[in-house]
Amino acid sequence: MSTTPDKQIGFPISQSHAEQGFGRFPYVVIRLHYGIYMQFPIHFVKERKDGLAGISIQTESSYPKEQQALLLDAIAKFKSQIDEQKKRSHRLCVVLSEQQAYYFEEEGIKFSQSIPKGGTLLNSQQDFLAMGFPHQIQTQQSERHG
Amino acid sequence: MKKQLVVRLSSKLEVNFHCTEVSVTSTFLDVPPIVSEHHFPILLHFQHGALVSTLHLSQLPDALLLHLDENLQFQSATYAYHHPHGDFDVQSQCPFVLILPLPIPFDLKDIVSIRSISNTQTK
Repeated sequence: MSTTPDKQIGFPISQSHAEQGFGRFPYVVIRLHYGIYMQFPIHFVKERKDGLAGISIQTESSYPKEQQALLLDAIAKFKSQIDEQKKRSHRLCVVLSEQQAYYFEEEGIKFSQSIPKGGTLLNSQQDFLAMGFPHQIQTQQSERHG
Repeated sequence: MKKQLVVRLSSKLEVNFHCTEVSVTSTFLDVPPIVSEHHFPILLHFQHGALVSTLHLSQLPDALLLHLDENLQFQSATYAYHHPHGDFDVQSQCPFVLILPLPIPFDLKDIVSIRSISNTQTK
């Protein structure tokens, strides 16, 4: 008898969303409610580009090390903007890899090897990106999270 | 032993790293097994009394080593990329070495200070 369920509940990030940058490191995740998250892809661009989903960080550099060094400052500014817009503090983190996230909390920024996963993942238009799956693109889409 | 280090940046952002502090009494240290056992971030504390420590980094996951003086002030850095096989060693003259996983989301030149804010026993 097989132990594999006949039907899987939930769905991973789609190819069309992946092409917009969703599910690719680095990205920002905002925790909206328990088990409900919103993801913002991060794009490093030399010039302003309209139509990109997520957060654009302008830099002349094409070296990942130099681009990544801009992340905390840029995400702190992004958080200030959305906190000001919504008149409340948002719980968010920037995720760099499957085992690296920097959480913006009241006491400061905290490094953690645990990243947000599972639950319901939305984009900023509140379209569903994924449900019950990792927030990043996986080569094997078999791993499941509650 | 766990130690919380706070890295203050010129932008006034503060980044907290909850580190495992590992006391080292030998002048030679094979770093990858230490990282496998304790996971990032790790603060090495050299207590052998000699001037120089040798750190063996071959097959270490991509990491940044911050060399810190006795007051935890940042002196220099080592990038360990692509976990090469063979003998990849670096030497440090500092009593503390903070090992963080790469990538790092801030610029090292923006580090203003590093301080320890608490000690807690674990396990």
